[in-house]
Amino acid sequence: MSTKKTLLSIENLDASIGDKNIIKNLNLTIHYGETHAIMGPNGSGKSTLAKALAGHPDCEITKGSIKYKDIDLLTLPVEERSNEGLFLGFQYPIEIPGLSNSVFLKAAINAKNKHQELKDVSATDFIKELKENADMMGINQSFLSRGVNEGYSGGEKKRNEILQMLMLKPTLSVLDETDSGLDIDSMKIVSKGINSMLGANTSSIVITHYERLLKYIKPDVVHVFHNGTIIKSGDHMLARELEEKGYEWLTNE
Amino acid sequence: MANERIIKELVSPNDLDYFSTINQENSWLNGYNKESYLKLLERPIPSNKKEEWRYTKISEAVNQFFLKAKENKTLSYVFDKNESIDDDIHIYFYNGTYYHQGELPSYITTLKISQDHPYFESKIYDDNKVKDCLINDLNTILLSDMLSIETKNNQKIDKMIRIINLSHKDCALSPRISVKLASNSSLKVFEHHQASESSVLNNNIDIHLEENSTLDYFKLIDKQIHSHDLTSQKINIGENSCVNLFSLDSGADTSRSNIDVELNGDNSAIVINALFTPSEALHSGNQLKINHNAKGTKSSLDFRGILDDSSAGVFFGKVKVHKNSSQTIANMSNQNLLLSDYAKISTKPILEIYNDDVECSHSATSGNLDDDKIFYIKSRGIDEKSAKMFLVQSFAAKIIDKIKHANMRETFNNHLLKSLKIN
Repeated sequence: MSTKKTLLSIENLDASIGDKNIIKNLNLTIHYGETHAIMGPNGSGKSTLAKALAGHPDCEITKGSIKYKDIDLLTLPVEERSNEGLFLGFQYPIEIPGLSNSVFLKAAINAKNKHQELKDVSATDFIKELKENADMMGINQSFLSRGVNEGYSGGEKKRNEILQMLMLKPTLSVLDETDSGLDIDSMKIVSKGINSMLGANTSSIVITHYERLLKYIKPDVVHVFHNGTIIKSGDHMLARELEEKGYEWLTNE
Repeated sequence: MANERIIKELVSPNDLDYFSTINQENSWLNGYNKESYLKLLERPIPSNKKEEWRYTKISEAVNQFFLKAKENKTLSYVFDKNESIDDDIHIYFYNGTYYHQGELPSYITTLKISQDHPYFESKIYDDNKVKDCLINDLNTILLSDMLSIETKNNQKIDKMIRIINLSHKDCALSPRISVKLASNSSLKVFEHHQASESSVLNNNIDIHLEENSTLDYFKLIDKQIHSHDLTSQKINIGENSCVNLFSLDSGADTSRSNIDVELNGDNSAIVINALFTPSEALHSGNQLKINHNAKGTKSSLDFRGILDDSSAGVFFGKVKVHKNSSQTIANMSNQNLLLSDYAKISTKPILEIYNDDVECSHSATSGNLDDDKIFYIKSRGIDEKSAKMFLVQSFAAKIIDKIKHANMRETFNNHLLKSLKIN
């Protein structure tokens, strides 16, 4: 047994979307300070796991448990999971025309502050921090008064997800294919944002198809997802092996 | 036609004479009233078989109009000395009379029905020649004072003119406004209908622009309680002139706005951005008729409905491009957000085009709040109610953000928030 403190513990989890059972008997433990990469072919259930963690209404948990910070995560509504420090970086971030980025982010931060019985963030602190993080993410100031993801390119949307993550300072970030659709420069920027978050008290789950991202973000553990569950785990060398051989040597076993 | 009802059937026989002899001291008007009254009585009440009235039941409003008219009181409005007066010009309508504090600038006149006969006569008779409209006739029947705003050539007026229909109870009233802009002038008007109770308001607004002029017209209708708010607004626009109309209607038992626009001058333009937000069992009906009668004319109509509970909204827009109106640009859009399974919207955007050299579009959509958007917002820690509120606001922002006047934008936004209740 590890002496490290457990942040997330998934036990014997089954989850379905519609009539289809997608996650099958999944077990996964993540300690504070760890970065886990989840790799696997299309349709293996990686995104469903992200949805299950965030509490997406389409995703029904039919068996098992998820404990997060020793709380039964499955009893928490979506917004409380976020306020407890769980962040989902969307594979396809949603456009919300007419709702400005800064209004949205401020409301999110204040919701979290309220949950922690803290005061609302001051306008000056908020703007200062937003500017710093936007700079790091290479996001133009003018974007901040525009609608959330409104008319953004794929890369801009992903950088905006990381900006939101930096502002909300989650304990556990679940990043669902944050690297898909990114050019090399954006990939570096996004990785820099993610790395700046990692520390002894934060953890992350990085869902990705490619080893590429893992050159910039060093995972402690790499899992291979197939048919709704983890079929193999290893260190970052496993990712390299997958890049060379593909998934077939594992999935055909 | 055998089963069509006429207005007479809604008036009690004992009251028939009353309405033809009101305003005894104004013999000129009395004669006019009697004539128009008798004419009106024979008019059919538009049945919902008629396209334009299909989704607006008008008979209850007409019925109430005649009942309330007999109860009208003669209370006058007393100014509260502490009333905050900003730089704008404030004019109040109460019980048939327009009030104001201090001197009015020369371009505004509140015409007294008992004094300004010739002016009234010419206005009413001229109007009546061209109009054949129920709301108009009802307005004339109970005509009281009139507000007239007329600019001179080259007169640009920066001050906002605020016309406030104060709250009424158990009244039937006929506010009448005339706005005329001479060449190369500009004007801003804000018309606010405060919440009335058990009342019927028949509004008549005439707008006329000569060439090279601009009118910004803002209209706000608060949620009316057991009331009917009917408006007939006729707009004539001359060469190179433009009318920008913004409105927010929170609904009434019957809220009906008829806007008839004649784009008469070359390169004249009408821009209408409107929100209607009925809730409970309230109604909000919007009927637009835009005639492109000249070259290079533009119309842009953007109507957004936010409908809650068992409310009903109506959009009926007819844009007609006449034969000689080349290079016309006409865009018409009606988008609706239904917040409840019981809310209803009836929408019909119609284009009638008799010229090939035009650029026209029309569209209508209606839908519910998007679950994916709600989830996205909630996933950032924001509760469901606030998430929905954000989405409704962002839907309305597409209209509100087009208001360039900062004060007005804030006023509209505040009223919007007040009118929405998200469960």
